[in-house]
Amino acid sequence: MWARLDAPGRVTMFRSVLIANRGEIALRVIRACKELGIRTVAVHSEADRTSPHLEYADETVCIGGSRSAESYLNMETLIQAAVQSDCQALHPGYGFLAENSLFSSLCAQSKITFIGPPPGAVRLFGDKVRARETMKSLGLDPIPGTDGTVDNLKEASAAAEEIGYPVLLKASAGGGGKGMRIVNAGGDLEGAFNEASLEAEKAFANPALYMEKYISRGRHIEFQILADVFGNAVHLGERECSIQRSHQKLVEESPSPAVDEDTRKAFGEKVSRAVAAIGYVNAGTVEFLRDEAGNLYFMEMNARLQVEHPVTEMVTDFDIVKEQLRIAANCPLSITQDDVKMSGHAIEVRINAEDPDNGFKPDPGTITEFEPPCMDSVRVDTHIKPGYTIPPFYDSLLCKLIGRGEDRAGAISTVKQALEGFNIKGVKTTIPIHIEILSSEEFRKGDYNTSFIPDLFRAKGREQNG
Amino acid sequence: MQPRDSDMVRLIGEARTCGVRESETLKGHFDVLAPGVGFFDMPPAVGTFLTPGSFVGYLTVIRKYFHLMMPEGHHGVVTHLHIENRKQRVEYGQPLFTVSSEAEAGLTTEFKMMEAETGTRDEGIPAGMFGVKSPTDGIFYRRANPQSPSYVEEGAIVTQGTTLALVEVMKCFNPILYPGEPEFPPKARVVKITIEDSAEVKHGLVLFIVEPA
Repeated sequence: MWARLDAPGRVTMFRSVLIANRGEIALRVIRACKELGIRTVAVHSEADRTSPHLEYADETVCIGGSRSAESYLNMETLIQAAVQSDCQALHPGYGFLAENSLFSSLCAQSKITFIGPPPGAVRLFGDKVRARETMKSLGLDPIPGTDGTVDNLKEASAAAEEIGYPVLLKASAGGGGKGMRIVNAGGDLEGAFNEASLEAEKAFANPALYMEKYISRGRHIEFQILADVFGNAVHLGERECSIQRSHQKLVEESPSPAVDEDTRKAFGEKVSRAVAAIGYVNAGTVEFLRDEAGNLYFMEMNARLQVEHPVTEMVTDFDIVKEQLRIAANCPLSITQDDVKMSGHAIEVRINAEDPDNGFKPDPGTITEFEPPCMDSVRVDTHIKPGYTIPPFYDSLLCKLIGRGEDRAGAISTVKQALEGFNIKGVKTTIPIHIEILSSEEFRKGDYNTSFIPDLFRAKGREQNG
Repeated sequence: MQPRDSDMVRLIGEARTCGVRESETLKGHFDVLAPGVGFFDMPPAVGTFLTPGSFVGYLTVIRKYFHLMMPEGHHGVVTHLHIENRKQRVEYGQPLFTVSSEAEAGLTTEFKMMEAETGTRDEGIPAGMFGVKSPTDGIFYRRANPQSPSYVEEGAIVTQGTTLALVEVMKCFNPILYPGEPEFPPKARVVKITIEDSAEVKHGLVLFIVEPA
């Protein structure tokens, strides 16, 4: 371990923080601020005027129309709202502007601290090709693939021959599965290349693609890191998020059943060294794909707070959001790597207003009944109250339920019981599919991968198009 | 009312139109609303007669000055201000001042005609025609993406399963298909598309009026 650097003097905490997000994460950040004695300013769009999270904030500002582009994605408005409500800092939550380097630069220009990584780090990890190269040079091997972009079909064809089919074409500026194509054989390459390039151009205004080996039946493993402005970095262990449908995570757990103590230690150390070396600051997540042989390949880094951060908080008993605020106020990390102790097992399920029997079709509407389970070692992160009407303009996440157990079997049983006792009426939710996942033999054994959901639906003969 | 010279130099933001909302307490009055977050300054004086496009103040948004205007279809006399100080911070949709639309002194007939044209019309569906409604709340799109042509134009013939439009809800695009029988004629002509492209729609709102073809 390298020498730990501390701040010599006292640090002033923010007096007020603006929360530039909505829903459960806005409430989560408000809670962390309150615990640190910080005044909170919540923002909302026209459609969110009655959102229950606003009651918890000290002040609220209506920032614009219902559509995200008019409100939660409107950079100038958010910064102005922070300025006029005397906030020294802004927390972006996840999604919306959390990984927008222009936004964090504009915050700096208006002397508002962006609670997240510096703009340069956001820019680096937004460019998937540069991120791959950088992490490779720091000892984290990416999935075998091209060193840079593949600029035309000829290059793509040569690269695919070298890597070996099946290959995956990905957008350099990508995310969320846009501009991504699996190519199983040479004959499909031309079509896939053109489609992916066009899709990338449309979604990110950048048609550049790169190619990597397609790892089927891989497992999605990610490491949570925290780094301060003094160059200290720690990791809080890993999470497994292989239960996904169309690249959207449904169930997350920590620790991963596929990672042993030695791998955790080795990779955790590599990851925290790497982020410290590039001058990364604040919370972040380094994502890996584990192949069937057990190799962990670097996929990408999410330069923000993740939706699934509570899983890690439950097993480490450490508040990531509070630490984010302290780091942003230029405090040194409040823990060293030796202080990080993982105990027990935690599982998070995302409860969305979606109909799992109908291809996960979003189901907005009014929540008539909402009674979360009251159980020891169960945490429910939500902004929902009975009588709340879910607006159709944003995502369908209603609530995150996180259960902890002494071991994995205990955690599964806790979450399952909690879900069975969860009463939500008015909209269709993903609760039934979660109970099914938790009851399945494969999941119980911990022997699952990213094909779990497609396989489950295929086995049931149901159609999944979500 | 006239901006100061120093303001003119810094006037780099574009014009923005205010919103309006009918007053809950005063009949025949409406509130003019802030079009965004910012510091509001230079409201019109009480008694000023305002027409569409009138200058009604400035909004400062991170050092940029926006010139605020009265929206189309609204006019009247300022009766009182909701803003006490200069440079007051406002949020989106906050009432800035109240206007009485009944004080019509000096209105030309031409102006009144314009007003009648932009007024809302009866949304009823004529006899013998059918209305295709939105199945959900969301955003209505007439085309798959800004570059592609509309799914249907007025006058188009549609049959069961023809895609008429998309409604976006929670980032998912749901096609609006022509339902056909039994409630609708098997083949129909689109008489009118009642909603503008990319407008917000509510569940049950009539999107298309069709007649048997």
